[in-house]
Amino acid sequence: MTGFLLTLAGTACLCVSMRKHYRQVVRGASPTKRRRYALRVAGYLLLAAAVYACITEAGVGVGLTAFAAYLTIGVLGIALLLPLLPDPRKRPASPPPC
Amino acid sequence: MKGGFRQSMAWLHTWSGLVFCWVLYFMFVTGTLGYFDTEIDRWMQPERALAEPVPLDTSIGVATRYLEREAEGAERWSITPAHGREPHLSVFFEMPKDGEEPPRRGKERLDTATGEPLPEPERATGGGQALYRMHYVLHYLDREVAFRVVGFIAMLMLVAIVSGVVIHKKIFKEFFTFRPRKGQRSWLDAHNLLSVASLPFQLMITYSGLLFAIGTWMPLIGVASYGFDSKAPGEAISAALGELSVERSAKAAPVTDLTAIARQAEAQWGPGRVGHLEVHLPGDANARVTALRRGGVSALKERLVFDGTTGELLRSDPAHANVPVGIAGTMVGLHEAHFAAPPMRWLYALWGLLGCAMVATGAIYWTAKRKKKTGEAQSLGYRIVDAINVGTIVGLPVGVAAYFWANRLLPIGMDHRAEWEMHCLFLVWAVCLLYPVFRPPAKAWREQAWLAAFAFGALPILNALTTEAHLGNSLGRGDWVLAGFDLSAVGVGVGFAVVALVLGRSLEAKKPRAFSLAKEAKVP
Repeated sequence: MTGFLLTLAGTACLCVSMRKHYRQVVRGASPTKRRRYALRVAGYLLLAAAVYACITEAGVGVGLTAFAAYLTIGVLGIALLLPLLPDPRKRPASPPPC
Repeated sequence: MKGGFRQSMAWLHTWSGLVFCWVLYFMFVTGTLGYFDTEIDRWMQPERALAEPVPLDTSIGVATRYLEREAEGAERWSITPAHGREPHLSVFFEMPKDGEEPPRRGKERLDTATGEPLPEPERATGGGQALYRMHYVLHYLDREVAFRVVGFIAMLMLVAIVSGVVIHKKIFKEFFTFRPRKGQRSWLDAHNLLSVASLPFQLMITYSGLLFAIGTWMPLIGVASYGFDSKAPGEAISAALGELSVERSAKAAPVTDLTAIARQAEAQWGPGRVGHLEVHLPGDANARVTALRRGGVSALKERLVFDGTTGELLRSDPAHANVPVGIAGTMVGLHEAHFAAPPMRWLYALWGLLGCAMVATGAIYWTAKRKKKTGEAQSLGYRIVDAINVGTIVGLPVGVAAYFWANRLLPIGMDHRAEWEMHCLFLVWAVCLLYPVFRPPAKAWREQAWLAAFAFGALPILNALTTEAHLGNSLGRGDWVLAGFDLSAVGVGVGFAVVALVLGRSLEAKKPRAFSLAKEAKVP
């Protein structure tokens, strides 16, 4: 289960590290270069941790197979959820609530 | 040539993908169902008694007594105690070859209480095994021919995967991209997303599938090393995979106590880890007993080899003697997924379904793209592909549902019952293939999707009307194999209903705009 959650978190970070998807999730705001870089590094680190967790949970063979399956669910799940968010291009960037 | 390369890859992807995509879809659907073969077996023969779990010693004792009585002087015995998905003790034996006839073989599930084979229920069926076997030997075709066809199509699949990755220009940029309700664009997005998200599985399943066909399609590799003796490569492979070859001596000797061997193996590997016991040349002085370990991804297992008369441990073999054997064993193991416990099995099923959807969206995209280009005046080729798409993408699942309906509705005890179940699958599929010829395509899509939704969604009701294995009983007992089948059928039914609703909405959307506006205006 840890492996699964880490994989989801990692995929989500990698997704949001892309400018297009960042703008979808954080409505209309563009990410700074540094933030994108940080998100990408965090994503890969989380995925590495996920691989480690999967292997300690189930051994190398079954663990890696499970990781591949979690990755499939992560990518597919995120890609299918993103279109549910409002299109950032259609509304002007609203100021962030403070 | 650079632009030309990608273009020729696109051509390759289109045509290697399209021409046999319906057979490929058939292989994906039946192969995916194959991951639940024993569970489907159980649903299709709910009258079969469930075995009570017994200690390993008891299982081995019962099996030994049965084999000594029924298969004296055999070449080989194999004993598989009950485990995870298979709740029955089963035995297998192969008698010595007698002249040109193939050797007599036997496979039985034993009742551990009586020591006798479990009676075959009257409800004759091909079960999940028949569905599973179809993904590599098809049906109505000679085995050898079918195996060649399947190997060839798997090769095309590999070509399609590799060329697909080459032509997907924005594979990273559009890793998470899906834009719904945009017609042709959405179909391509869906096809890309399904393929990329499940790419590791698709590559693994295709490549490992091809490994099964290697001797069929690449016989010259064997010839290069072993000459034209058709048996030699097979024997070399068996030897490399560690198959025991034992010479028969003239002396007879009783078989050692197999329960002691099982106990010794269990002590070494832990409880529940003894997969099979095999006895080579039982009753001969040269007999050997091997214990195979259960668990791990690879199809090849660690094993202990014992002297078959004294019970002395002779040696312990690792699962893989060398790296190539390890790769082969792991590939086959990954393909067959015998290692997968229920959660992993569901992940495999999900991957399989994504494979089905990948092939389906690819085939639909072919038509969606041409529809946009040529408008309403469709060519004959377009109409044929569209009709086969409806008839197979939705029609084949309807056929599978018909197979399950036939299992419950065909009279018990009729002649060739198991064969007729399968005929029902193909008859219904054939009707589904003909139907779109006489209907406007969009309507055929929607109507068949509703038919599929009904055929699967109503299976639990049919089950409740015809057997005692219905949800009321299975859920009450916590029998998740039977309940899981019924609930999955409902899930598939709901899935097709959603497809039908979406298709219905896109039909509405195509009607003149004024009409839909007027309709909206009426609703406050």
